[in-house]
Amino acid sequence: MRHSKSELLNIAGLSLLFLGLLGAGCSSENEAASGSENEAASGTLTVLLDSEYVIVAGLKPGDGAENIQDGWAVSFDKFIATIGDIDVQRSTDDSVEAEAAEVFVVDMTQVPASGLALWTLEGLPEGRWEFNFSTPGAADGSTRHASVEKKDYDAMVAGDLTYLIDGELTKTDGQSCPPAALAAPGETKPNGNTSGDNDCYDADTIRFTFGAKAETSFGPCEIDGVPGFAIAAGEEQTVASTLHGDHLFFNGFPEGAEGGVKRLAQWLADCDLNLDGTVTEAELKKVAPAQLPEIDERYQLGGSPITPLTNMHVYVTSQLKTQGHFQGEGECPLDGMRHQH
Amino acid sequence: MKRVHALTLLPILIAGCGETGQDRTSVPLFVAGTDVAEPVVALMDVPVTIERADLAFGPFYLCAGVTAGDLCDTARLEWLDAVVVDTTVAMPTLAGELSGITGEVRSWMYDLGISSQLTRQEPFVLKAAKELGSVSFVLEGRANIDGIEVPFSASVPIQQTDDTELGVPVVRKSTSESFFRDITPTESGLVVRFDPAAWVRGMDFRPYMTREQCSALGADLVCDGAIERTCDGELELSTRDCDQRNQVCLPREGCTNRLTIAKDSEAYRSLRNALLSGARPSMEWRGVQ
Repeated sequence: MRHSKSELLNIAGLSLLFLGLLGAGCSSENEAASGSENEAASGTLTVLLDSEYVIVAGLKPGDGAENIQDGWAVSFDKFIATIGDIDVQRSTDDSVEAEAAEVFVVDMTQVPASGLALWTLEGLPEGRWEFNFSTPGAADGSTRHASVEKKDYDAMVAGDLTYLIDGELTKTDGQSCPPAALAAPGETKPNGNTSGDNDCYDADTIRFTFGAKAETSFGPCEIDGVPGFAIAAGEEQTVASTLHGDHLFFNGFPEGAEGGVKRLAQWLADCDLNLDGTVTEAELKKVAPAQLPEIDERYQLGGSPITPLTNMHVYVTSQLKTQGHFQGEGECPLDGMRHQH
Repeated sequence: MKRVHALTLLPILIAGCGETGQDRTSVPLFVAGTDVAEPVVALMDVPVTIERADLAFGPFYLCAGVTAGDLCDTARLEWLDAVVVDTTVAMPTLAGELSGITGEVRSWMYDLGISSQLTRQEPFVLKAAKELGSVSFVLEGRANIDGIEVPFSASVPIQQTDDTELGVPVVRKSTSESFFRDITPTESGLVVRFDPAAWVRGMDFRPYMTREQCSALGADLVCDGAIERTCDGELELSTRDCDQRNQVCLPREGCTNRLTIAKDSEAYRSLRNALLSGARPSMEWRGVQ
């Protein structure tokens, strides 16, 4: 087949046109790399700290999906968390990134419903960005928020803690059934009920107080399948890092939606080994999950972020590692390696 | 002519943008156990000889993301079958082929012969689990408690239920474990190796051996080591030496051939928890072909 000169020019022109299309279709990296050329087309990101309402209002007993289903009510007096290290990357080129490295120690029970504006990133080129944050230990350069008492902050720093939690379980006909091999009831008499082979003791109010090192990185986060956030030129965008408070009472480690989860608290009541009305960190560390008849087929532990689950403090720490969310219920893979610094 | 030229160039355009660096591939999947010829020391120094530790393993998935589970919407490599693994044998055996695409994998997840589907209310029991009596794990052995050999067996199903997370494999890599591989088209295979000793070490066999006499507040049937005593309060009505009958004396049961670890026992929960959230299998990559 032979072509005339004009046809050959047409072919050459079309080829250039398609090469141009080819380049345009595959040029996202180049576009992102030139993001610095568009500094004028930038916006600001404000990051709020958001507290799930149950941290403030507690959890009520009942049959609803959001209730504690074994009759206990839960309230938190302190839910102190170390959080920060906001880390964002341009979705089209993760070499374009920005960071708000500040880490705060905040009592999440004091966070207002509108959130706390703790971090600001200015001059972000317009476009879509991925969002990451961390719950590190408190020892490395954290800042005490006004919501946290100094003695609690000092304890957080001394223990390099991520969480310090103090709360209460209440149930009118509540009882504690500690593992017989570990129980030290002293003068307290059993009430005649048993859990497995363990005697139970009346206990309508049980405090729980413990710290945990649960350093975790969260992200890239998404909400309703949409990753990160968008920056428009000259605009201020606001997103929220959310900490949930009910994962401690989950009967497993759901990866995605929490719809199939049950919330149960009897296991925690059963960890009051000396029946003094307070479950401590030391007591949690003594109890193996298998020693609690409550941890039965209703619990699915195969997705724990920490393995092996040797005791109930490791269990609690594992649950705390899953609490980071985005914009309320948005999901953030945890401890990903992609954005570690 | 222009249309002809445009169509001629279209494949170039598609090829240019369609290059993802991923190829279809398959990777031989091997399963293996760990030699447990020596007794395993369970809680409170109780030596346990493992005689059988059969595990239904599969389906098995490798995911691109660090977090498996629901967030692994599309597995990079998957094996949808299941086999019974004799976890007391260290020699790897071929289970099948992982099929999928090349690229980086950072997490894994698997079921234990009973697979939960979003489209079914009840989990699907695969042939491997059916071979074990519709359970995931069968353990048989002998525990030496205070010098008395107690033969035992346990059968443990591991499955999602309405109470948990339907549609998600039961065991998922934790973030405290490391796992990474850039899968190439020339992989020689992956060996998934289990160690039953790690699951048995946390079991407490002590409650199965008691030394009791008849007493006012005691049970009607008690064990004093291998001696079974039938009581009426403090009065001893009869005794039997279970050992002479080649049996063991178990609390509340008396002379019996074998301890069957009950579902509501601590030993059972320990085994179940160990399979789910205890020591994980090692993932051993064979060299490239």
